[in-house]
Amino acid sequence: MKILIVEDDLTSRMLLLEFLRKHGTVHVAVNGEEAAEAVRLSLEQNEPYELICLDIMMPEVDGHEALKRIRGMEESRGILSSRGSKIIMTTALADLRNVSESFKKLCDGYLTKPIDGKKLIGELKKLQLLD
Amino acid sequence: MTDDNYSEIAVENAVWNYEAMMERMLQDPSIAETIIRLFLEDVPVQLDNLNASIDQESLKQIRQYSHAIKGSALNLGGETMYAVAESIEEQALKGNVKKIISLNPLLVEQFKKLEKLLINHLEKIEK
Repeated sequence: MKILIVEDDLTSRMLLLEFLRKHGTVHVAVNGEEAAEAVRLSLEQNEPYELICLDIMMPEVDGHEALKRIRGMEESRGILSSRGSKIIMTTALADLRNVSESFKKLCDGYLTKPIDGKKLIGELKKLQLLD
Repeated sequence: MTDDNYSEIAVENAVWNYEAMMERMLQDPSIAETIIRLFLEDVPVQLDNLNASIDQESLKQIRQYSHAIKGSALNLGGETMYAVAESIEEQALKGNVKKIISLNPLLVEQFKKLEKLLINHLEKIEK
């Protein structure tokens, strides 16, 4: 599985990396700008990410904007969001309350912080990325 | 166990909830050690950044750094440190610099308490 972790917080990033490295090739981006660039390259190379873990609150280009850009790039290549990368948004529970419904439709799942290995694996199973 | 023992444990758990952290880290001591070492290296830098942004009264940066510190404390099970960082983040949203200035020493104090427990833990596993 090809995976992209997008996370500005070092401990969250490393925790996700520790949990996910045994399930595939993991790339890391520290903000939304880098994430969009990584996704653009992966689509150009015809090797899209199967899973993207995307933090909502990041400086500069945040998770909302990155998600819109990623889905926009997929759409411009004729890939519907249901067929695109599985995107799990990561956020603190309090921040999740501020996420709009239209935004929620663009992603596939949520993981509230603190990062929990069992919950992460559960989400991956729900998305049929793991058996 | 006496009531005093229980309250000591409760206070210590609020500073560092080791059991909850290990549960989230799938009881894997090597993951825990990696994250603890990262936390001890990274958070002092984040606290310095937060101090500088408070000096400059930059609410955007205060929010950014307190949010990052909050996330790190949460992952480690540093419950009281998390609570103080979250209060600073909330006050940054409200634009209340005075309150942030009064909360900042509490955040440093909570970090020092957590740091001490984490260093003790690392020393124990090194033996």
